[in-house]
Amino acid sequence: MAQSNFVEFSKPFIDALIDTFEKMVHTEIKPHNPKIKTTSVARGDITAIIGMNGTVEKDGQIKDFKGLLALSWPEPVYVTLAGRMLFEEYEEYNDEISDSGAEIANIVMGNAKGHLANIGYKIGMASPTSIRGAGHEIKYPPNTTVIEITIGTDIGDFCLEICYQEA
Amino acid sequence: MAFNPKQKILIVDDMSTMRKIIKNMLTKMGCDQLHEAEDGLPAWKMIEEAHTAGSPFEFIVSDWNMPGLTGLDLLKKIREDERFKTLPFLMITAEAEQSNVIIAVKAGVSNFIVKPFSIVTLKEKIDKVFP
Repeated sequence: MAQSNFVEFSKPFIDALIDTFEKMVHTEIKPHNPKIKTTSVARGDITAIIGMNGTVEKDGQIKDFKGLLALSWPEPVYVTLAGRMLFEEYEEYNDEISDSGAEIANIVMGNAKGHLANIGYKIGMASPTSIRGAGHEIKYPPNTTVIEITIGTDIGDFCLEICYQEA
Repeated sequence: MAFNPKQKILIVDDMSTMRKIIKNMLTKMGCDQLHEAEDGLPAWKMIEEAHTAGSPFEFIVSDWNMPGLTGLDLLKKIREDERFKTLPFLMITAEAEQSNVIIAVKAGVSNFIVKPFSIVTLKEKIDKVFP
């Protein structure tokens, strides 16, 4: 993917993440510089994932693309952030917060999807899923580029991953 | 008719996290008659049963995108029924569904709110439902 396309495609996800954390997780976040990810091992213990596919129209040409959004948290960071989102305090991971990460991913994806539609991207998104466990792997669509962005918060970092490839 | 926090409210969303967020935001506004449904179908059943029992819901807060009966389908069912024609209905949508809001307006939605939203925005939207 051309660098310009990466910036264009990823920016709405970063903006949506900042907005979502400000309004619904009550936490200020600081995205660091993006890097190419070269492993399928998740950076965190809990990862929320949403697959996507669609078309992009540029310069009169329509191309198919596939991609994935992932948010991966160390478990203590996840537990605290889920608590902030739900106006509760949790000591540890439990059923009550098991879909909190997926809901954050869902909101970010839905928000970014709307903004991307304005610049030519039509996206179909799958339902979010969550994986839990240290060292778990993320199944990226084959032959796709994965960008990882460390997200800083007052209680520790987590990771945003955006995967994208035009056909 | 201004918003009365003592109203009986039904929150409809397939994601338990979002139901809990809305429930806690409404609780902070002083609401204490809060009920939950995880899809449009059980929500419709609860709305009918509550009406039959003489303790009807007075306000519905529903997600749009749900795997069974969607928020839009639930809204249409409610508006097609004489008993619920004027039941206040706040639709929660994702940014991507904003273009569909006109459909919801035509179906009789009272107001809508786009995720993500803060408690302040939720209160503003509710105040517009109950001017």
